[in-house]
Amino acid sequence: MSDPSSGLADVLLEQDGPLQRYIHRRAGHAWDAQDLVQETYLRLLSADPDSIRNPEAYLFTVATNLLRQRAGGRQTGGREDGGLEEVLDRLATPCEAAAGVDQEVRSKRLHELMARLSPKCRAVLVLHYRDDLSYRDIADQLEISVHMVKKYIVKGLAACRQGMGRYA
Amino acid sequence: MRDDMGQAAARRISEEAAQWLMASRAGLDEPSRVAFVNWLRHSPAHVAEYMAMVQLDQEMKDAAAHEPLATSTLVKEAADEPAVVPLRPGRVASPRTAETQVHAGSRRRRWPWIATATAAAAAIAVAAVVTWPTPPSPAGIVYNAGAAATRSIDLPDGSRIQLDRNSSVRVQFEDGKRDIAVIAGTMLIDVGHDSPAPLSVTLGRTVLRDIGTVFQVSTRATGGDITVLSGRVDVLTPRDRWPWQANTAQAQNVVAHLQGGQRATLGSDGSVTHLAPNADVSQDLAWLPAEIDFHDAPVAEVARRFNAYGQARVLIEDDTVASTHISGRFHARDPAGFVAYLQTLPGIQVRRDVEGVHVLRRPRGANTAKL
Repeated sequence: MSDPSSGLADVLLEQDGPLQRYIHRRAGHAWDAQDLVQETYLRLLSADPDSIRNPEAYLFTVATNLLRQRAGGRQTGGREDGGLEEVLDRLATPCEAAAGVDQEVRSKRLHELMARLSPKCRAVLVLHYRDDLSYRDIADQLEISVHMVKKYIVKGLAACRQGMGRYA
Repeated sequence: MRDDMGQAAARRISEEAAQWLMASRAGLDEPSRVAFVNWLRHSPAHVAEYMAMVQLDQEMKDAAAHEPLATSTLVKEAADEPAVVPLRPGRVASPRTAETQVHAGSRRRRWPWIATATAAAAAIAVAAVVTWPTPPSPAGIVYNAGAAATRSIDLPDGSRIQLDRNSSVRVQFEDGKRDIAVIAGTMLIDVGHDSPAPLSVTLGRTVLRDIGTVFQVSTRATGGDITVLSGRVDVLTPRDRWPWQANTAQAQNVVAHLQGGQRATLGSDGSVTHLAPNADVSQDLAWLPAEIDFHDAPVAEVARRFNAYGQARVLIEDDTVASTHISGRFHARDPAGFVAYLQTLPGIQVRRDVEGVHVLRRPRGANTAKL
């Protein structure tokens, strides 16, 4: 089996994915998503685990700060303009980071991937993401346990992630 | 190119990331938080995958919105999916036997050991494919709003339901009928017209027949309330049974016609105990969210949402304006802000009268428009 970190390019947002492009635009070609993840990871390792109250918020805050530093260093004055500030804030909210011309293409691709899932798995994902039903509601609808609902979401998300990884 | 082992490892990391995402969204207790941080610290691949999973989670909403199949169809297809049922050790049976056992029960059988058996599935060599018997037709879709927030639901016929906190409704659109049962709490419905099927709303034993309108239904321990904001609602004679069990041929008499601004109070037996001709609608609707938030929605749809609050009606009288897509956030109880926004769009004209606020297009070349 390959060393997990060597497969980073595969695991991380695909080479031409939106986050990758985003970082390219903002931080320049010398620095890519792989570097960002590596740096974020190093910060995580050196941080006191007890200080990380919300791990997800921590990751995106660190990544945003790293991008900000990087972008600041690139500019002659080392100062950020308001526009960049806003852009970086958006990056901290991944839904905004995905905004762009490629969003529609990715969305369609994702929908195709969902259509290939088993009927139960697909139904769970659509009821969750489109109809906004709670796990309990979905379980009742499909006459399965809440545990199975969660399991289908995990399986479905993983399948979609893998599918999106192969098709940029 | 990743080999099979690499792919399996990548998928496993994806699944772990998805599990942590769901756990994180649900709220982490202290041991889970520590475990999550340790998982992230284990490898940069985990950090990368988690960040990608957060992004995917966002994109899924958009992608799922592309799904054209109705919820009921998806549920049916899911129910028809053959289930792979791992058999318990010592209970080795041919698929045929297993099928007979399933059919032996008159109702759909529960297999309480499935959850544990699935976990142990890898250790069990024998598995049989059993076709799940077709369940009795689902008795509608139940929507719940929790204690934390109200909820808005768009139905396939174009109806929009607002559910108060701690409320639930059951929606059944089938066989040329649209039935909605208010199980608990309060529902405000703005009835859509995308379906020719008659719509009825059940509140305990009382059935309401709608004739294109906006009205609110609340259940109470002692019966319920019906408040009509606009249009007309017929209150029918109380039923002995639930509508989906009732004989459709059963004749039902209209007990009361409710018009806009009227509120009927129902007793526990379903009879109308009080009729207020000029109800304080704003008090009844105090639970609705204070803001209306919409993204890339047609003007007509946004106006409908404002009108559901029962203030001066905003009437969009031009098709081009009605179909224009806009985004924004407004105070729900102050349509003036929305109207002011509409006036900033090119060629829009606004006229106010007793009916409400008319929004139309300014005729080209005309200084004064008489319509």
